[in-house]
Amino acid sequence: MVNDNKSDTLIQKYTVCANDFASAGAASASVKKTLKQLGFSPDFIRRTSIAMYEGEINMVIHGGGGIAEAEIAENYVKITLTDEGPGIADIDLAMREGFSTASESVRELGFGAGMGLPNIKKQADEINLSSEVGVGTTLVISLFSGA
Amino acid sequence: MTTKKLEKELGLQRLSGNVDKDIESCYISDMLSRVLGGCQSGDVWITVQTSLNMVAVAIMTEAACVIFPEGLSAPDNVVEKADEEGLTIFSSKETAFSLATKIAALLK
Repeated sequence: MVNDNKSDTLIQKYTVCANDFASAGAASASVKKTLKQLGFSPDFIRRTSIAMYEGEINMVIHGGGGIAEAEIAENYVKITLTDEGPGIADIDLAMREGFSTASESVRELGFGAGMGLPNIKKQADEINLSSEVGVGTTLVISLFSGA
Repeated sequence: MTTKKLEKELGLQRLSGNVDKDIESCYISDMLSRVLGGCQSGDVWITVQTSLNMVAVAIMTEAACVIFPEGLSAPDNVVEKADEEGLTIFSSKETAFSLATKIAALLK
């Protein structure tokens, strides 16, 4: 984790490794601890943690790993997940509940039900998903405390 | 109802964790993707998933505790991680259905 503190925001940056299911969730767990220390509400912390974890798992499964960055301010958290993976050909389809391109081995681990992106949307206040096939994907998840 | 009371009432075997938490309800699923969307804060989560990812999902969803049915246990590294995170995991010889009906009766 790299901390980059500006005057009023805290930036935490993590490297997420491809196919590393043993340490998947470490970035989200770390951000969750920080949010607890900063006194955010339990519901806000839970929503943020679940959304970030879903995104982190997607990077592990689909994105070939990448960078997870959390920008934490007094009244919001913005999570930016960037990978240089294969990209998403059809974002509308990827957002549809039940659609998944996960392999059988990933499904055996309990993931790949096509619930991740819809659940991120459910937990977050705003999401922005941009992707280019062969280049990579960036997912920005924003949550506003008190929203 | 709390996790310690549940442990006593159902004769559960404690595998990890020692924090007494309030229980609100119960959730059963082995598909982690589904649990992340469905398990609520304070739920007893019954699952046969015994991997490290189960610990992460239980922590993210704020499950009160996890119960492995049918006598399942967890690998040492999973128990260590759960202890580290303060997650209570129990094991029971009973089936998920039997556990759920007993939990429902206790929550009435």
